[in-house]
Amino acid sequence: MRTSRLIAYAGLALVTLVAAGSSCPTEPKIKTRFVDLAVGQSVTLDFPATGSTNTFTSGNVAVRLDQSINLPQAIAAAGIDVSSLKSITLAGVSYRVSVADPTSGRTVTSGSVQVAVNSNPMVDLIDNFSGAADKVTGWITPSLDSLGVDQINALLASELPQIQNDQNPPETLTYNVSGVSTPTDVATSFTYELRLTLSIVGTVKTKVLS
Amino acid sequence: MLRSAVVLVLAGCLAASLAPPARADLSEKLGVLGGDDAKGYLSPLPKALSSTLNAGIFQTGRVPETGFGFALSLHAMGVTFGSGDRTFQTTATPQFPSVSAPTVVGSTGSVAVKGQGNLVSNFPGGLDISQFVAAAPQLSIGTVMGTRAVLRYFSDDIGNSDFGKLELFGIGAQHSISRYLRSIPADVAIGAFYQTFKLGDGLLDTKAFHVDVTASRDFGRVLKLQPYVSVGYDTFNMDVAYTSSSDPTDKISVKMDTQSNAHLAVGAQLSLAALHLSGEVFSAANSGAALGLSVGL
Repeated sequence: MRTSRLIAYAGLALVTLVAAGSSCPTEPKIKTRFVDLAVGQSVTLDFPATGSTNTFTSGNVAVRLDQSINLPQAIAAAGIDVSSLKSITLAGVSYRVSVADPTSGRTVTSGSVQVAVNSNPMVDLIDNFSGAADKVTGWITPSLDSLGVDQINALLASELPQIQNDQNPPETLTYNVSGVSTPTDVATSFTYELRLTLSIVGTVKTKVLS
Repeated sequence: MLRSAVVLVLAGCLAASLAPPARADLSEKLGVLGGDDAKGYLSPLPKALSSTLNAGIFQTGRVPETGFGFALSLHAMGVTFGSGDRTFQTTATPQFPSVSAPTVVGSTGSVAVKGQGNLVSNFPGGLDISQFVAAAPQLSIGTVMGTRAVLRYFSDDIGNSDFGKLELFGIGAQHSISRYLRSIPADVAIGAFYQTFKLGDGLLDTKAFHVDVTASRDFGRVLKLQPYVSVGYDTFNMDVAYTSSSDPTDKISVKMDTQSNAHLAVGAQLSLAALHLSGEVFSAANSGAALGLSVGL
């Protein structure tokens, strides 16, 4: 019996010893964490390309981003308190043909998207894009011009404190889409969509077991 | 909207019942990530879930030939994360380079990455945790022809969260080997256990399978001590599905790499009448420890 007990205690001691090793978990506790949450949101702008000439332009179209995308709602839906909002930045730009041109072989060359914030001069966002417009396409990721991206990022940065103060951001984003459409002897009729993807970062309070 | 990061951390199981609700949502965190980056962000979870779900199932090699016996128990299993689990390398795209970003257990700060044309994208922070703890209720019942059945089940609707339902189900059996090899000086049994753990409507869907051989020996009469060792094998599969936060039409499915590994455990069970307390340390996909408290015959 004594031997059995000794073996038993030795076994228990072994388990205790190994359990005390550095790779074993310790007593879990609930702790508070302030975690940066990154959320993506997008806004899509339509541009119908129509006309009988081979050069098309949307003209300058002014939009209010706060009317195209409800940022406070998106932020709240992610569980981020607006007071904990840290940044809103432009994380992506893409475009697609959403309504195909009925003319087979319709293509666009020398395409350009320019943007301006408020009364700033127009700058390139996408320069010299081309592609087929006779069929609906998936989202196309073009090469971007930093001048246009910087303009939009500046707009978003200026809207951040206004959102936090529950104000309607007054900034206006103006864009202009243009290009050359072929064939030239048939009227152009298709629709582009331009998508701006925003990255929103805010802090959320959470509790973890660790 | 009630959310629970705790549920995420424990995703392992019902340790949810041990912690209060918190605001941080796995689907929100994943929504900004592409499939490959979500895989990297969640990369510590399959090992942690495999190790904890497959731990603390069998605490004895003693399975009587016949007779009624049952035990209702609660098991807590925990593993620690290594420093390599705290970051992952994001996937390079035509617009953004690859950077080091926190995993779900990494630091809480987000990482901003500057891309083509001065685009700026962000990767979410982690929960800054060093260990993963899960718990599971278990019922074992038997025995018939040296075989006992083992069940685990837990289901809970997590408030109004996006997670929806959390459900753990496990079923398995342990069969005595000693009944065929009466000369060996220990009780030996082979066991197998299959578990599913689901979180939300397809957000997290896991399947775990464990098989082992457990050897134990009783010491004492009133207060019994039963040291045991087990040698086994684990497999674990985890699928994640979520919606892109920037494009609600973009449904993203991620299949994490299958975990397959040996599972070694050494532990002891202390019994007084119908009360049993067990503890073990194990080496599996991650190494860790498990504790169990059970009542039964």
